Amino acid sequence: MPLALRRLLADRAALLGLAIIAVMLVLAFAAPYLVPFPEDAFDAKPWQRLEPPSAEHWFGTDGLGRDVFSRTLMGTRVALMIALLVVLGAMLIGIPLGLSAGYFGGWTGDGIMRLTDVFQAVPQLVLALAFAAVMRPSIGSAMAALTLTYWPFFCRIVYGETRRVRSGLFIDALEAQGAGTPRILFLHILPNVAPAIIVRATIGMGVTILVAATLGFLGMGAAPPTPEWGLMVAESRKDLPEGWWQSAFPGLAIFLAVLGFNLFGDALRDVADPRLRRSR
Amino acid sequence: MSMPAPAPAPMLSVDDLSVVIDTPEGPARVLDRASLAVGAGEIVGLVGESGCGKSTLVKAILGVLPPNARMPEGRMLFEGRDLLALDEAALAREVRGRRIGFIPQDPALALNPMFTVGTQLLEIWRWHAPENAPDRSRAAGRARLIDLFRRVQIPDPEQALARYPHQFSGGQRQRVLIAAALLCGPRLIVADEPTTALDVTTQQQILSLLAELARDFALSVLFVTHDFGVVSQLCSHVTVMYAGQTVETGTKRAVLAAPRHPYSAALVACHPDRMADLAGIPGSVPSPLAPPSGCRFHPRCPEARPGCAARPTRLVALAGDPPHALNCIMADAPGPAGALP
Amino acid sequence: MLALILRRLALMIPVLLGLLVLVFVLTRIVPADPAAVLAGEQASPEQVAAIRATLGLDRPLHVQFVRYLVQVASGDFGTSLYTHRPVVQDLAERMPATIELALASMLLAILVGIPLGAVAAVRRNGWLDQIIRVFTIGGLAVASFWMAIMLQLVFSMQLDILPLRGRVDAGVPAPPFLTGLYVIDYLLAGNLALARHALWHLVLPSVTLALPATATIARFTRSSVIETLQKDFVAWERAVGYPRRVMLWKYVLRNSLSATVTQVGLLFGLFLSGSIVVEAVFGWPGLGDYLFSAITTADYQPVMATTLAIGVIYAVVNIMVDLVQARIDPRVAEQR
Repeated sequence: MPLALRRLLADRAALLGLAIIAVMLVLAFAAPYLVPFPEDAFDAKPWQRLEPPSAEHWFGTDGLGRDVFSRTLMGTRVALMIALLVVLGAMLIGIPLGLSAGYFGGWTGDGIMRLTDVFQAVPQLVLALAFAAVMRPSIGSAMAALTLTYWPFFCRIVYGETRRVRSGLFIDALEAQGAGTPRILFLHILPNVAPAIIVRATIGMGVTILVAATLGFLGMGAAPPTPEWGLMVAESRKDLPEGWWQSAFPGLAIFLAVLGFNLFGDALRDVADPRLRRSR
Repeated sequence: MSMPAPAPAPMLSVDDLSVVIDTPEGPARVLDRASLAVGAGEIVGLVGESGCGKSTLVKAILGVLPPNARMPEGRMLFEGRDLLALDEAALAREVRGRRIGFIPQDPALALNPMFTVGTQLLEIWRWHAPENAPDRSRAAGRARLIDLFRRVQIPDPEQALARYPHQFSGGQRQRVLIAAALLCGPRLIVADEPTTALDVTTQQQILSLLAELARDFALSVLFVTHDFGVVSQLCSHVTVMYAGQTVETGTKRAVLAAPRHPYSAALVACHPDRMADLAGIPGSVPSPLAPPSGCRFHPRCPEARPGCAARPTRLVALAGDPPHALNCIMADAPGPAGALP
Repeated sequence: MLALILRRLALMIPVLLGLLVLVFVLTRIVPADPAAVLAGEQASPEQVAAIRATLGLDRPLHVQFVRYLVQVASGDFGTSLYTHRPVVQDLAERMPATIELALASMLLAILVGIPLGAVAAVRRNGWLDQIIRVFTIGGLAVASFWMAIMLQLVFSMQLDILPLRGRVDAGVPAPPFLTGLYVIDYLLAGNLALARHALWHLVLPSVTLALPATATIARFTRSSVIETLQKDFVAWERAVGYPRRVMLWKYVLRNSLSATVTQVGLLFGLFLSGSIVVEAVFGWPGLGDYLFSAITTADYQPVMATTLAIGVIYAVVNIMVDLVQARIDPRVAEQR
């Protein structure tokens, strides 16, 4: 789809989003080699507590004397890893369920869709908190909670698209030719549904970074001393208002990361399918 | 009888009006020096295929062109006032709805679905109740509207005011819109293909209603259509447009009986069928982005001659009475040219 | 109309039942044993077992669930292990705080979001539209907890012009209970000074909560106004001489709002989840705060009751959205 690609590249907002995502990817891999104090991810340096931003410590130091700049950049890896795994996991659950609900319809379809209704009967954060709470707080349980609460979004969109594609005549023709169900599902329907999935996944990355940081902030995610943005903001609260820099910069990082995925996902949606409307 | 009276200035005259719309592909000249005149008491049929600029001309007269449209040249006079000199607000305040009534093409879409018919029509009264009306209050507007509803044969006029557009049939909605056009005592009615969206029986009813109203209210009407059958039934004059230009204009009798422009001739020959596909004229209206050189009709013209592509033509008044004007190289040639065999 | 409401309510019940099952199963696999917590650290295993028996925790899961259902059906949501009060009572006490916060945020989001979106649509692709676009995309990218803390930092800690936390300052008596909304109750009690006091406390939390909702509303209003402006009836309204301002702000906006209103249900989701964070940061004694502290302390009766309450609120709001839409658009009302 060269035309779509050209339109995407002509959109300044999309390019900005793409640039942010690219920088994040680089940081996720190379942050430990790029930042001035990689050991500050974990090591406390009590002799330099709460130093304001300076030439040495661009974002200042936190309550344990750690370099906020280094920790913020290194938080990229944590955030991206969580978001990527959560979105992938949600796709692994949601796409097959949505495909089968949309394709088979009837009793199976109803059952699956009622299940997504149950999962979406309360906002994602509420359910994710409940899930996270029954597990020991850790990055792993936060990811599990987010995956278990995000799959309905994929299920729903795949369901709708599958129904739309299925009503097209060519599926009947394929069935008449004797093509097997899995073949039809994965070779013929999935490619038609893919644009919608890609858009939802991109926006889902942004949403997940935001909700994961919120879980971290509420103490249901990463445990100290992990350089996780939400946790960093939470830890900084006891040093306010003096140490404002250790609250401000991790929050800005969250903002930029989510903004990047939202900008890009938005532009993707406009290009991929104008019918899709933002639902989250 | 003393001196012959000088020809009165027409109520509406459009002279050499061009409209250019800026598109991503470049400027599109959708109207190219188009001209039109509607005299007092005349019913002028504006005829042409779709895409020939009729609707643009109507929008220009009403001042509702899209924001990316420009009018680089031309003149538009209505009741002696220069419409192009008025800004959007002045037009909305002093001309539209008040002096010029408008009847749209598709009555199903033209009314706002979320408001009752009464609310929408009385909004026009609120801003455009005629200055000389004895009572400009809302109640007076309501009373006049109920009278008009009765006049255009809407059943239960009082209740009708409280109903929503979707609760009327297509024909009734068009009657509502006609009442809206008449509400504030306009002198000119602009009707943009008001019957195309209706079924044949309803079309006939609406046409006779319009003819009757025009006579009783002494209105001038600019009636856009692509159906010469409608023209012969309703109009006193005809203006034929092609590719953004006026190609022929004259009385109905003259144009219908002896069309001088090959395009008009082809249109008349198609009568009474719809103009969707012009039998006898292959091809279609050229894109306004890349109009042909010279006469815009020459690529499709059965009478085209070597000179046609060379220089642009102009609308030229033919000698004689009643007035008749032609936009064709043949206008220069003497004698009745152009009538198809 | 009544049939519509009843049908929607009937559809809501199995979903809420499913939610109850989900949360019930979740809370019963909590690693922390509520009986042990309740018995205290010095309790002997026998004492813990006794408490477990009185709570019915020694029965099979499905028996516990049926018992719980019977309990819920009779309006009994159990007792909080921490407040030692019936959960229903706790909820009733905290609900108004959240409602006050949500209403204030909703008002703010609507009052700011709709004009922003409409202006962006009318000035489509102009510089004002660009600025509003940045705001709407950016507004959804800000973490509420961070926004809350930044607002506290600037307006409470540095400038000291707005209160840091709570519905009122410590020691200020609550107003006599009428609506449960402090600002209104103080007003009704004739105490203007305290109404202002409560209003000031409301500012930062509601601004925080309103930001993503404002962005969403602006966004939807913009696209639906643009869509409406291309309708035939707008051309007619122009052609018959409606003044532009009347046409835009009365006729076009009403059409666009019908699309925007459907988003309000979604926004309520934003408010409910946002209230957990906002109430935690601002010490706002509402549902979100209650749910969060119940979760962190493995107090499962409140967790279940609050989750269910949130589910009910969410569902009811969505039904109300349908009804409001039927009010705005006469065609919707008749289809049903």
